[in-house]
Amino acid sequence: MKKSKIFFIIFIAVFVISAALLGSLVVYVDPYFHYHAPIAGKNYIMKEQRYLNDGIVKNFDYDAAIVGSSMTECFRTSVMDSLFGTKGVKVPFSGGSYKEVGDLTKVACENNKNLKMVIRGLDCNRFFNDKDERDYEEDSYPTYLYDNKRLNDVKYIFSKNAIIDSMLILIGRGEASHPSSFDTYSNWNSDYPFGKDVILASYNRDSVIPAEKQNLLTDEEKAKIDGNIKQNVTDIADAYPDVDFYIYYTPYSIYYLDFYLRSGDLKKQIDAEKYITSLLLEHENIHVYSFYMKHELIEDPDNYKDLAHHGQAASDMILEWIHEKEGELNKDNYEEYYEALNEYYFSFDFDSMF
Amino acid sequence: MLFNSYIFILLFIPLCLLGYFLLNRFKLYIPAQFFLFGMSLWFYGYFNYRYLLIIIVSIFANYGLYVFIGKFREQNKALPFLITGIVFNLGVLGFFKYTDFFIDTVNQIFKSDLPLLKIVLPLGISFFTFQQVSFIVDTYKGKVGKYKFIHYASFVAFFPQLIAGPIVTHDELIGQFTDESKKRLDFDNLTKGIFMFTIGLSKKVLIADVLGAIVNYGYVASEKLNAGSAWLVILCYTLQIYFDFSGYCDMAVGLGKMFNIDLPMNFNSPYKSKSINEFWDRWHMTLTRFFTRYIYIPLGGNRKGELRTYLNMFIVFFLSGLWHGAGWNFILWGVLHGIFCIITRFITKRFEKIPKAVGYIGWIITFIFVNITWVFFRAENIPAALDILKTAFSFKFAPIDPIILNAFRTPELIQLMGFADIEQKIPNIIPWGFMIVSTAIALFLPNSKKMFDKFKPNALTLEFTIIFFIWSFISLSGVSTFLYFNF
Repeated sequence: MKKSKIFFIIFIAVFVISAALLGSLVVYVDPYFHYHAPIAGKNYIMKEQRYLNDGIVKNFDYDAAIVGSSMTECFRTSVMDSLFGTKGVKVPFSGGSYKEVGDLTKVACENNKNLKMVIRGLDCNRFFNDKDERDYEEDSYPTYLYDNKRLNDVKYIFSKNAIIDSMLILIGRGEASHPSSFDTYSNWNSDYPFGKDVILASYNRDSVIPAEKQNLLTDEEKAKIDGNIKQNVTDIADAYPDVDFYIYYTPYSIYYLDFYLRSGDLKKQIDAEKYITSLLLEHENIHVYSFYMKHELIEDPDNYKDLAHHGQAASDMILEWIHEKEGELNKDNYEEYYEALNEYYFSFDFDSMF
Repeated sequence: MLFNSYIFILLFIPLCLLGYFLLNRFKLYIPAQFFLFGMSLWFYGYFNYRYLLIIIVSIFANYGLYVFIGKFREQNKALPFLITGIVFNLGVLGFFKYTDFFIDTVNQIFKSDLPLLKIVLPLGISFFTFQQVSFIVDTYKGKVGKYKFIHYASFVAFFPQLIAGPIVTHDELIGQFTDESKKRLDFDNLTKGIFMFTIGLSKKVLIADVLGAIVNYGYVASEKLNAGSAWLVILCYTLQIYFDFSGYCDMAVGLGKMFNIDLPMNFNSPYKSKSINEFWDRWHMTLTRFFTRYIYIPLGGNRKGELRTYLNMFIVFFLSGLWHGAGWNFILWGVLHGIFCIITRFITKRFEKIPKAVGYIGWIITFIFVNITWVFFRAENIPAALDILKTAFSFKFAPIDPIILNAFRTPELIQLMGFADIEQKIPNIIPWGFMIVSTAIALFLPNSKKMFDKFKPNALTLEFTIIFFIWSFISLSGVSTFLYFNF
């Protein structure tokens, strides 16, 4: 036989066999949980939220979920489970928009009939985003994991990352706590210093012009909120009346409020939150929480690593408050609450925090 | 469809080879040619089906002009058709590629506010326009024989060269399409083609794409760079564009060979050049050939005195800049290259023989010049390019941005270096090793075409092909390192 013919036959044979083996390995181990829940007894590698979360909500055995942006990353499901008697998962999207978080919530509700509880952090700095905002380039997003098309899974089963992860998982080089616990998944609590010094290092107060006049919430912004909240929050709650949604406004540090005040947006922020609360309270299975009057949280810089992000201790507190129904708003108390909020922060001595 | 995609490798190319050679086996030469044309249209339409209309109309129109020019040439009445052809082709290109650039420029000059049309540029239009212009001009000159429509159509649409070159001329390709000795599956060519495709795919996927992620970051987050990071990003782009483009052309040559079709070489290790003129003899060679044949020589080339030669060179480089992209940054890039070529020619003409030592200095100057001008090519616009260059030339060095260093750490390199904790012992061995190896490949390894010509199917080449093919194949998709940069 011609040498080139032998070359060709061996090449094709080795390629086909290798591809079949590697593909089967990924399907078997399934490092992104695209096909099944983790293999019992194996430790997985859980780093890439946008590759993992869809599989987690589709294929894990759970009845409660924590969803949101990076503001929810330091939550511990073990704390939630002991408080609420649940079996929870945490699926945060760092920098996730309402749309992205909402879509994942929808997938969770659709695929898990046991789901009874969702805790969701609603980011206060995204109130006025467009309802379809997604902060990434479509090309670089692994959409092939999110759809139900089997053919485009080639991008998953033949991908270098998935193959290497599968091998590591199989030989026992996964991360010890994954996936048995979601406490450490995306939890950066021990990776950063906290406190006043680091917050102030990231906040250039002088560059902000003190605003005499506060901006007001416009009709245009209200319309944006209507679309954003309806599509990404309340429509989902309405579609799944058996699921209870615990929605809280992500509590930023006092320094963030100082920033809002000085840029003239504090009034608008509070009014927007109040407006959103009024929309959310129209839905029976939505429970709304605001913690901006929890001074031990907001005004203690040791809870924060920057203007916005609080760590694990604060996350634990939030879960306890939700459980104790502290900070919960209802139709009877919410107007009063926001009045108090306005009064408190517009007379607050922000300079004392510097 | 891209060569570096699963659908192309797993479905398109096996199907295409199988269908083409099966039909030819039964001596159904014309149906086989139609099949190849049809597959090429699928390949092209896969990006965006609307593009199909443009390319089909363009093929029909040019073939029609060819027929008319052929008819009226003898009676010296073909000139209107030639002009129609050139105006038509350049008009289509101009409309799709330059309308918004033109409107934008008008807006800037007259401070007007005309809305941009946001026309989507059909892929490869710059390539197939030039191909067809050369065809029409050659027809007018009587250099074109009798071509069947299907041979012409499959020449323009032949998928290996359709979207990124090389810019093949009709006489290079159509003769091969009609040659019956090339209609049988030839394992020598098939394996040679697979070998070359693998080289190209590896250049694109294993090198260019890694560098590309760093370049994207560097040009988006340019204000965060320090001088060291800026130089690194500049060098990364110099390597990226070479490995990307030449890798793509290597794949094209390899694919052509699988069909027993020889495509011309497009890159000859350009970064080895010791002068800028030499660079242009080695970089995108089929484009240089086009400009020389159809613009430089018709303008008089170097036969009308030194000054006129320089003017002709300038015009060619200006047009080359414009061809590369609709933006002033591309034009500036072309003009800078033109000026540097003119200066080089002016100096070298005054010396009989250039000593060897000057050659090395020439290499350094050329390489630095090429690096810097690529910044204008890559940046969004001229001010953005100047920003990067200002940072680079501030010489305010600081540690390289860790985000950039991390982007070199592909999962397999992490595992490889993790075995003996090599990265702990030699910090940053992955990023620096990557840069050194890829620069060395561009500067010292024989050109891929040489490896292609020398290829013999043996155990060594088989191992090389298998390892790099599978490695590239599993690198086609994966976690996009830079997905999180927006957050």
